[in-house]
Amino acid sequence: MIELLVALGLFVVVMSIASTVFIQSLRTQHSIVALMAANDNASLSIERMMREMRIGLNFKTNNDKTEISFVSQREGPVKYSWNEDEETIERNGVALTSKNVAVKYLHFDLFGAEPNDGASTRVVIRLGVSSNEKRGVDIITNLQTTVSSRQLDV
Amino acid sequence: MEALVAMTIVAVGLLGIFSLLSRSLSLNRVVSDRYVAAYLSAEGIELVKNKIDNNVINRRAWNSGITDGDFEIDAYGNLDLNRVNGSQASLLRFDNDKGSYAYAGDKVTLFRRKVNIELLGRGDELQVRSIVSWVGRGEADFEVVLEARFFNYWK
Repeated sequence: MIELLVALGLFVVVMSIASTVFIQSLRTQHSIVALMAANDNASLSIERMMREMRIGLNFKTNNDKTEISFVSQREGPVKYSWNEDEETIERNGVALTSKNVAVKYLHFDLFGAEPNDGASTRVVIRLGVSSNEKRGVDIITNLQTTVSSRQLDV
Repeated sequence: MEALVAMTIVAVGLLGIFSLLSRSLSLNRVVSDRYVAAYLSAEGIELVKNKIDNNVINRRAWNSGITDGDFEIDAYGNLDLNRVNGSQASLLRFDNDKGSYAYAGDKVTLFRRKVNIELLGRGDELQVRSIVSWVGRGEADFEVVLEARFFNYWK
């Protein structure tokens, strides 16, 4: 009887540890997949911004640098901005990133954008990307890249 | 005896799950680092392109201030190409307040960026290779290399 009780007790303890670890692994796996999806999605948004900025003109940013507007050679006036409440990147007011992406910050640093300043325009894009998974791993990927406009003010 | 065998099997299973968990977490770090490095590498190329365009705008020789060698260049500086000292480029730093990568900042990152430039075709072609390297998971060396060629089409 005692052996049975001890065996049962051990079995219950071991099984509860095993199931906790297994559930935690599943959650972690889930949040990692979400984070990778978020990075992929943010990457597509960055690519789109860069492509348009390369052929853009008349760049301007707002005071806190969370918004950039310019004239795209193909599509006319374009505005990229960070929606702080929704944690998304918006293009002309429409969300560019999907709901599974949390854009923690987005800033545009503008150089050489004044007319006749003797410099070609370049935009430094900085953003922090995380997943919107509620119980996810709290990892922010800090990205930075620069785009040099191919439209020279000569 | 049976209990011992059973416990051993369970323990081995648990260890497997633990190692899988830690491996997947660290692999995620590798993937994130690659994203960061790819964009920093692309930045190196764009900064050289911006420098060329500045030369053109100011009616200087298109490759003025650009010579053969390995250089460091900063997105927030005045686009000077600083020759790499020694065998390795400096570690980039991350500014926590701004969220920017440069050579000034409070946090040293894993990443080193080296821009390798070669003048080709009697000075009418530039081969620019932007190499971002870092020591990642398991002390392994990682590297992202991007290459672009620029031509003197203004001549």
